Amino acid sequence: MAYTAGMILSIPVLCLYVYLAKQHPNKNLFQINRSVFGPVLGFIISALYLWFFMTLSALTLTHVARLINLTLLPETPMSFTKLILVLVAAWSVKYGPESVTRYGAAVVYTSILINVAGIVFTFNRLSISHFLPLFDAPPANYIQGIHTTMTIPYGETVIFLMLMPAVNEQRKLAKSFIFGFIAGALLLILNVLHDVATLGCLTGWFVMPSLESFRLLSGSQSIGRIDILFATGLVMQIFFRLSIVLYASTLGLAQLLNLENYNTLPFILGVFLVIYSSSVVTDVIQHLGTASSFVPWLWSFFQHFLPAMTAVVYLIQKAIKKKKGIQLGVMQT
Amino acid sequence: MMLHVFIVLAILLIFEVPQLIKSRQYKSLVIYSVIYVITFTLAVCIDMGVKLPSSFILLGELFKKIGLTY
Repeated sequence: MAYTAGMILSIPVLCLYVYLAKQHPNKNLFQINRSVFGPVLGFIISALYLWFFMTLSALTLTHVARLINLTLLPETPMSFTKLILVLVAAWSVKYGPESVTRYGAAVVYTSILINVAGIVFTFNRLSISHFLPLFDAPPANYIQGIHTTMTIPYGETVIFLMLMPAVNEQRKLAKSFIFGFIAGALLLILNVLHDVATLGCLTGWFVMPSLESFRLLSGSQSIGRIDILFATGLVMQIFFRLSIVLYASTLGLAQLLNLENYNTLPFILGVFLVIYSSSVVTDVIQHLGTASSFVPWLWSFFQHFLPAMTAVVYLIQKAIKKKKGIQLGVMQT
Repeated sequence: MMLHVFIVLAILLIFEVPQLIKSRQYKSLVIYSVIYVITFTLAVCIDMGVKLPSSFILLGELFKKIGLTY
């Protein structure tokens, strides 16, 4: 319920991002900040966004490295896994947004295929009774759930404001962005429904419930351990996300410091991220604890408050300019 | 513990820094050097077992103090 309501309530927020992008063609978030707030305040706001992108990159890196250590490479040191992942991501970032996003469609179709396959294979374990009783939690829990889903998966789409100027067909920007968001959100909701139908009240007990539900696959001997397929799909998705957040961080840093190009920075910034990620959160318990306590509020500042403030300031500036234009026109006539 | 990080940092020093000097991107070189020194210092600190403070957790504590938490 929280994921569905979060998706619906996030659509106006996405429209706000699209509005900002449409009003500032060929400008990314950092350039919009500079244009709306001026060089000083714009620099401060962009620096805050850079911290947000770097922290998001560090948390994503920790997430994907933990998943690999948990499922594929349990003996490998986590910092080594992080380093390899970040170097590959940095390699794609170095060659620009096209190389970062080139395999996006392949990642999406693979994820859909793996999810559908997972539902088919675990079909005999799905139970409608796991959804009962419905709506018996206090209203505060629903509000928290909706706020959390609006910020942690959905609101993070604010990062696409860094990629929007690189889109070839600007006319289709709004349609593609909102359609992509809804498709992604529906896939996520399908995943959550599958987890609950499979695991029931145990869903909340696991760090990665989807992985646990795939471990229950009742295939034959020859197709045992299909959960590894799901883990690989998940690693692909999170790695794709890592490439995008690393691109946003690198481009943001270069623009904040007025560098001619950003392609000298991805590797060193990637190594810095490995170090930074080891200090952001110490363990998985702390990571999950932050997501259910202060993170929805902290992320709201970057995903809802600052874009809304930018739009309001932009509209005021536009109204003032229009008024001045009318006054000048009257004086000239 | 951090040997692989130091190896990558050494490789970057050998391959990327001469390119920056050769292409006369001095501003990029300065920024690159600053990030390099910070990364190297923090890697040494982690290798020596120093617990680094987290800006993320510190901000979280601030949010908790002002009541913006669940």
